Amino acid sequence: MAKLPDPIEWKPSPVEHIKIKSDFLRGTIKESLADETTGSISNDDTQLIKFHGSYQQTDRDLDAERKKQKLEPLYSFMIRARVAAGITTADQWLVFDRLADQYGNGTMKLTTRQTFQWHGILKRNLKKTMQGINSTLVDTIAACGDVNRNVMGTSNEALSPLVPEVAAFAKKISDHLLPKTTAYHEIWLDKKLITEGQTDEEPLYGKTYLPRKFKIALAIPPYNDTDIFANDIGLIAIGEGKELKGYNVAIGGGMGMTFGNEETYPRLADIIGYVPKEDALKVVEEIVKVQRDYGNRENRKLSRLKYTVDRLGTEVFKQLVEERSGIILQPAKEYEFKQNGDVFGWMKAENNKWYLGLFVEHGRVTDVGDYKLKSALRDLARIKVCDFRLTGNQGLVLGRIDEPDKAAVEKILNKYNVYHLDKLSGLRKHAIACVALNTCTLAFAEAERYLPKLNTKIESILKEVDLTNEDILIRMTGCPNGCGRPFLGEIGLVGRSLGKYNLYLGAGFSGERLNSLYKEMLDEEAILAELSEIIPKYAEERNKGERFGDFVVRKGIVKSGQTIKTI
Amino acid sequence: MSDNQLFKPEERSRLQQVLSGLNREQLLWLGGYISAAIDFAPSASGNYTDPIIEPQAVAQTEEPAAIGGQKSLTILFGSHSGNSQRVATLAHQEAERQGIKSKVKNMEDYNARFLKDEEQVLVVISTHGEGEPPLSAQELYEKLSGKKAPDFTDKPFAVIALGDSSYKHFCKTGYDFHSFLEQQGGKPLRQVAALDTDFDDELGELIPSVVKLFASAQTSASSAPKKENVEKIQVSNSPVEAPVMEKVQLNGRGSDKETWHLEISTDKKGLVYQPGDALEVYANNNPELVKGILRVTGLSANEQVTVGDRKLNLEEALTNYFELTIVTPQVVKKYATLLGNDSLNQLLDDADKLDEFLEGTDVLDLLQKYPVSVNAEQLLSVLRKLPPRAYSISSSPAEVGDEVHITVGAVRYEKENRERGGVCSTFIADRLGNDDTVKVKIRPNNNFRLPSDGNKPIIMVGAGTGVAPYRAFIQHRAALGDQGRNWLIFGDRHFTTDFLYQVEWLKYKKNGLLTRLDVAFSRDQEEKRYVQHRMKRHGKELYRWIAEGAHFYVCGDMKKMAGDVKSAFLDILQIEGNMSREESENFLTKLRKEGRYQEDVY
Repeated sequence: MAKLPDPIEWKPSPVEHIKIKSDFLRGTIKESLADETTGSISNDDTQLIKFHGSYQQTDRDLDAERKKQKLEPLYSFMIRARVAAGITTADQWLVFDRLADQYGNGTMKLTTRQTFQWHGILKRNLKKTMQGINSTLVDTIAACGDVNRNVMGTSNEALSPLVPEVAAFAKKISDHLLPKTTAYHEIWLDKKLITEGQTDEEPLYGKTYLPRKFKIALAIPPYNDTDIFANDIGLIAIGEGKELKGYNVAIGGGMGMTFGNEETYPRLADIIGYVPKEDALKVVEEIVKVQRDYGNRENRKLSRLKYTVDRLGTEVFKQLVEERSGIILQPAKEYEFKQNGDVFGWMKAENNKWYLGLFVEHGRVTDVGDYKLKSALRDLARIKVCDFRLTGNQGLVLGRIDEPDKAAVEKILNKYNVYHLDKLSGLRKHAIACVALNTCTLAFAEAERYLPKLNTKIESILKEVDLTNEDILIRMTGCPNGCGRPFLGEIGLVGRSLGKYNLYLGAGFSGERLNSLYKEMLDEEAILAELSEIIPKYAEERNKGERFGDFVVRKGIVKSGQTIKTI
Repeated sequence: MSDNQLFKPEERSRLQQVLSGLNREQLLWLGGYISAAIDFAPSASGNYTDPIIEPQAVAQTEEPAAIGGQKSLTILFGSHSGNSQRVATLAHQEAERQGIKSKVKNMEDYNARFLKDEEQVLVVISTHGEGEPPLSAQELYEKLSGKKAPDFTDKPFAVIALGDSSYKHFCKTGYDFHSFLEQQGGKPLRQVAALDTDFDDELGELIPSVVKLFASAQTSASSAPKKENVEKIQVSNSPVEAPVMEKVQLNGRGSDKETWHLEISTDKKGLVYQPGDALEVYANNNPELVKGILRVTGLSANEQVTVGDRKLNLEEALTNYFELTIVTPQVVKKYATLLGNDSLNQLLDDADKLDEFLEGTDVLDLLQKYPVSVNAEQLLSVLRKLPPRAYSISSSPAEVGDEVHITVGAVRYEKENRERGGVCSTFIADRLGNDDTVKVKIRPNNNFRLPSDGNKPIIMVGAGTGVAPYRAFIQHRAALGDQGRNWLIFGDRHFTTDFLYQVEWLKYKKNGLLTRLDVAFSRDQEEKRYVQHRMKRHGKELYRWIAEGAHFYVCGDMKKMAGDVKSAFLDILQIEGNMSREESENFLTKLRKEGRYQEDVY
């Protein structure tokens, strides 16, 4: 066997320097929080606070106006929780709901990575909000930043008897890869965990942590509702009957790209083999460590694991993992994914409990007009008849409901006019949109605030050709960084500038094929014009049961995007 | 001019003495500090081109000695993602290499007014979305595209535009800047250099060639000084009509306050002022209020009346010459004689009741509550002349040139189901527009002045619009390069919406001009928090400043704040200065006599 490559000495990027001199993620966050003259924190601290689970943002609707008024931008913070596999209790929900009203913008965002985001938190309320979250035994450490982020796993126990064990493993990975710095407790919880003279240690990460964010997801076939191929590590649960045996391991997935930079691209993970469940944690850890040692630390645009994998070669990467961990991966096991969307409605699990897959448009928990989702969920949490399980598609499953409590759940949902699924089109049910404007600093265009309106217009095209109930994956993001996994949409819309989107078509229905760029810089009229051509064609010329994404590829409307491979 | 001429021998030796004792880090820091100071220094006299630091002492930060009469290059960048900044920095390095003195400026912090003082300009600017400038360049973009664009006659310039050719309006902002500068008389040295996203390869050739154009412009451009068309300014102190150049609401959305920033041109108006002075503004009355009075009295708007030696109609007279929003006891007295009954006389006899009645009462109230039949002459004979309202000036001519700025809080309230407002503040807020003219006059205030010694520290305490004169103070000290420390303690209601001039204060803090900035926002938390609380929290420091000779200023509300600040000040003297109550009061009296405790309260 050829000698495996050695790690490269990179010329550290500015962010690397910030990490090095941060004293294990402390930086000057405390001082920044104490500065009453600005709603912002120092530049370096904006990098560091991500590791604590928060981003500094501004209300972009007001940026220009406030500049004229000689006021700084309206700074606020987003806080993201870390909730492995997205499972929370009713008590936790109640606290989260209250924090949104008390310190946030009155809503919560359920994210595509199965966790909660609060937006619009002013600097002076940041610490109180963090303490509120922590009072529920949920924290926000490593929810953002160059570390392993929230670990995803199928959360709806009615979908498979393997869910509890897989979700527990997601939690185990999450805990295992957690940074060990005590900075978080010091800054947010007023707890000094190290004494004078002691310093923190990061045995796994070291003081520069990872080159870039790191995402892990687990899924249980036939449901790929966590879109595992869009992750740095994807684990496919392999079971025999009701028993979990191990995982197929996929590496090197990631959505983000930068327009105009050919070196960046979305990529689906490669399956590199199978590992019995006993060895899975060790393999996961080793993949993280190889990325730690080999990932690009010079150019942050090229530092995700997917680029490391492509630079070294998937095979070489695999060998590095095997050699360093001492675990030889077995050939990947057979599996089949049928869909990556959520399953809605009532379902009963093996444990005789009921689960209700609920539609939450773009994950936004809010009351709008008569449709009072937020109030409904608050009432449900108060009577404590269910737990709350976030899905990987910005959705929510009310879980572990006893048969006699089903009626109470229905009653509350009806009282607050929470949507009934039969009224929703197949398009809307699966639609995903990222936060984008007005708070995301990266967004070029609208997403969450706009997609519902666009969907209404696409729905009338679908209605004309009687495809209202056809499940079609539409995903929109305000930028190409990929929080809404737009490159896995059968219809993907990626913002270029206000009102203008690149239209991508042809992703697979189960998250195993990327879409391809169809046309650039389309405004709403142009998007609808294109879809008015393609959708009727699909209605007329599709094969029986053929998915929209498969159809546009077969017809050559777009060429096929990357499909997953197993080495 | 060499540095030998620029500095007196003793200055020169002092400088050398200080500089030779510094290490590299200190010198680097100082280099940055000095270049920031240069930005604020007046560029008026002489060629301020020679380095003031001995070259051998600071080899790393040295600026090349400029060739006599050579024009300096200003590189202005407007960046969103940092690309333009990078190109600007490269151009700066190249200019230095070619021996052209240059400086790099971020459009975000650049005042359009400075353009007329630049010698030649290289613009590096990106384009966003549908041909929009990056946010950091928006203000400059608007200034240059507007009517008030500064003169740029005969100045050489070039534009490097960054963009993405997959967008329809490729590099539009760059082309826009090019035409703005050309319209203002600038001499383009070349066409716009439009760079696409993959521009890195082109930079190697482009930057040296662009910079070279500026080098050659040095020799070819006529070096004869432009004939200054100096017009003798008439200085007098009668009111003048001056044009409004800018009007901005300073409170952010959702604020329960309404504060206006007004910029008025003093160009050739003879309005000469200094920091601390006030501007008297001649308002006119709300037309609705005038109509109400005409309606209640049944008088005709067109009835001819005489005011002084002017003949005009009643509506104009009421609108422009008589006070309608405030009723004084004097007015009540005169009105009572018209009334012919005793009801008002009773009120006049009871001072407390009268006060209560007059609070928030206007002429319309008086006419409605005590109806009487009057003719126009009678009505006017009762009324008081409309005096101008004075506002503390919030600018320094050293910084803003031919402008005067004021900061005005709009006074509005509802009483007895009718919306009312202060005559002048609502005149400014509602009835005065950009490009209108307004009648104004300077009211000097010698009791509120910066220390004559620029090295003296100052502490400025202000709430709400009370911050206005401090903006003038700081602008002045910045422009003059005064070295005294400056401490601002500011208070208002809400941090996110009411931090008046926040961006400017933060800039001054960042560049070191504001040594300290403390804020108190009364309604952002359970307990009320005011400026005096911030004074007390930092009492030790405040006392140290006073002990070191600081001048202390208070500006804002007379009824409450001035007293609270004074008692906090006395407390601090007692606690930190170990003074008895009497001693502290004597000390304060002494400070007042020395002009070291000054108030501008209203």
